[in-house]
Amino acid sequence: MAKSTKKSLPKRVEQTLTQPILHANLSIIEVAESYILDMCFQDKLAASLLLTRLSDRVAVIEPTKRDELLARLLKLGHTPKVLR
Amino acid sequence: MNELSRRFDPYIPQIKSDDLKRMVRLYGGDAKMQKQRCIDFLIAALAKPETVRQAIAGLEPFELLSLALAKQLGGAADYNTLAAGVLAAGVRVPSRLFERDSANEFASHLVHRGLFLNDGYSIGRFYSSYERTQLFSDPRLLAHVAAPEVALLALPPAPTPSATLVRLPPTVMLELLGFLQTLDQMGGLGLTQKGELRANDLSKFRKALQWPKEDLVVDGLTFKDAVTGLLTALRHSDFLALTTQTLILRKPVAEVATRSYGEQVATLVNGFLRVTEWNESTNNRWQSYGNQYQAGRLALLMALASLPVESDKFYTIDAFDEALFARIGAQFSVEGKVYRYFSTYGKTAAEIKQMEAKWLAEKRAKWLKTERPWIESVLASWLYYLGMVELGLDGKRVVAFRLTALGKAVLHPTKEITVGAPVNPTADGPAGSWVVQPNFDVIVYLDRTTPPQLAFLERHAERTQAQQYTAHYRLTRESVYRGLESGTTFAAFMEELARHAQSPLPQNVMVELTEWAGLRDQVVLHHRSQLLEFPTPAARQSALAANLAGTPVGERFLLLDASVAKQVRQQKVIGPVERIDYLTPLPKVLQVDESGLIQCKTRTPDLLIEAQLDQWAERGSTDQWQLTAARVTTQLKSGARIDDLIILLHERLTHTLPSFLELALRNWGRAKSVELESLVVLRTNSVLMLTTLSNSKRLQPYLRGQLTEYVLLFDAAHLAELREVLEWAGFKLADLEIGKL
Repeated sequence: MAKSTKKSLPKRVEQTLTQPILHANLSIIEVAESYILDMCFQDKLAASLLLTRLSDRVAVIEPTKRDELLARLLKLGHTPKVLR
Repeated sequence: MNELSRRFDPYIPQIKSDDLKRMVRLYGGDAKMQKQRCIDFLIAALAKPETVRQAIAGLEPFELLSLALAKQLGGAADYNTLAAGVLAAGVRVPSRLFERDSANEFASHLVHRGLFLNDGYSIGRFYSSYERTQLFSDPRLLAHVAAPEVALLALPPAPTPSATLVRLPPTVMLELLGFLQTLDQMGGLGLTQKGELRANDLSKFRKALQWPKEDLVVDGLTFKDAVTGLLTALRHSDFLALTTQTLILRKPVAEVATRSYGEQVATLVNGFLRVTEWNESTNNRWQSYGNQYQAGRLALLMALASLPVESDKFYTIDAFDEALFARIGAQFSVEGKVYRYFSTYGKTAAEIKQMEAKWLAEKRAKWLKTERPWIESVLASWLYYLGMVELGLDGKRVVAFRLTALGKAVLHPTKEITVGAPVNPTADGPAGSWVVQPNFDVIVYLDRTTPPQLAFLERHAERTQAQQYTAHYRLTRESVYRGLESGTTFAAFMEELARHAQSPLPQNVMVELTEWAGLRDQVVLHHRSQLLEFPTPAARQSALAANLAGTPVGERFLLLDASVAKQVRQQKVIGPVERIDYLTPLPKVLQVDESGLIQCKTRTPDLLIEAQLDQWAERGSTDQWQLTAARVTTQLKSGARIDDLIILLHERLTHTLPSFLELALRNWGRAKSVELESLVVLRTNSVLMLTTLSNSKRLQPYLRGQLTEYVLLFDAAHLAELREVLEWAGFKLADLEIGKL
């Protein structure tokens, strides 16, 4: 995972947690195939709008940059479904 | 003035006693009551719907019409506008109310009756003024008033012209929607501090529509300064709402598109009725202060509304103009107030009659030079442009007109008038409104379409051109995507597209559309996901085994279905959970010093902060990051803004951001220069001595300036020469104590 994102895994992910955490109203991107997210992280602008990669198909979005990410994805030829 | 502020209650105590006594009569009150009792009586009467209803039932037709027109104009109107509208409607008005100059007596009557109040000073008593005095009525009175009623205007029908011009309702609607879309894309319509439309926005709007700088020519007809005319009408219409110096759409374009043709056009027509900053006249490009174009528009519409609604006959403009002059010509001019003063002292009745006839003949001659061309301009500009009239031509000259179904629907909103294709086509109706071609073009037959059908196409396809009877759209991946994102399901989209098509959808189009819709599922942006993080993969496995509904993400996360998120939050499914809501401010856990060393002092479970800091700073130890010029610059080059970082720090720091660090961060974003040079500082405690030194010709070549009254600055490159001269002059040179400078 660290290799594909080219970013070190967040310290907090490695921490041992004691109870579940509900991340409410978090902005994330979910793709059908992992290569799509790989391509997003390879795009300089899209990558700057993404934060932690939680899996090969899911990453956290910079919350203040949702519209910019949508615009970038459209420019890259994707047609994302937006669940508001 | 909003609806609440037009209620009479707060104004009634300001009205003089004599005026109050007149007003109470409308509601059956005793005119002999004392002032306070009159006030209490009026306020109580207005609060009782039944009392108001009875008062309205007892009004004269012209009084009722005045209220109806005010209601149509939003509850308030210039008194001249109301007067012109009432006169043009042909309703009988007592001649004493227009005996003297213009509409002052008429306005006074309406205020005395308690139907309206006047703005400005002396509320409750109307005075003639050069100002555009507004009359307003209580919304509780207007609630009981029906649509305006007019007296039939019987004109001789004209022969059907050999050449006519008309614009179909769908064409009008498409252009209207285009205006609204353009305004929406512009982010609204800006106003200056004086409340005028911003010239820059006018220019942007014109360029977006690709309209000329000069007058717009539509089907050979001149629409003077159409951009200003349309934008000012839009500004005053209920399509737009004002939010801090900017007018924005009150409702989304897609919602507007579902309204009937009549409703859409009527909204803009009501805007034109409120326009004072523009006029239609191509002969008169300037307008005098106190002009009455606004009143003229209402008068013209009332006269048009007086034409027989069931007739489809053409009328000559000559006949219409004469009839309108007969109704309002003696009291009205678009150029301002009409005065009719002539001395009748010592004159016989016959002489007075002759004088009046002469005055009226002069008025008519002036009308033919001013009002008549203006009436033609109104018919040939926005009334034609909005599809309300069909024009009959003699060569290039407009000589006749008739009301279209759309025009009648706008002028008679309470009557059932079918405009365009029926909204719900029956089996006998059109077989289809459009043809979808294999190249994804959609040809729309405008005479068969309904507003909802056009609204559907506007949402899901790109309009490429619109002509008189057809419009062309194109289905593109982007347009279909936009439509589906607006809330249409793919099944509903395909059903609607096929339902109104004249022939089955081409196979290749169906396949491609299905593929486009599928692409939407390839990437999903969850703006408000509910993600559950477990301490270990085993813990998540246990939860899944207990039928917790969701999609596993990585090893320890579960993307919850919306249905179970609330239960998890309420700790009904897996017991206690720690909750972080990303819509609320996240905890302040960071500290930073002036050198840019960031420390995370407290453990935070949010999924943002570490990744955000990793983007902007070099990670040191597990809880430390160092801001560096190189790292910040790299991030800025990828498209980020320095304000993003500064806002992040402001939000997450436990203390204020050090000013020097903020300065450095901003400089890393866009370097600012300061000038730096090495200088020799000479300080003495004698002002006289310093003056002597600064005036010395020997020292002049080395002197660079004076810092304070005790400090001179010299060129560092000539320190040796400076030292030599000063020692020659007998000075004992000591080292400077910088701290005391």
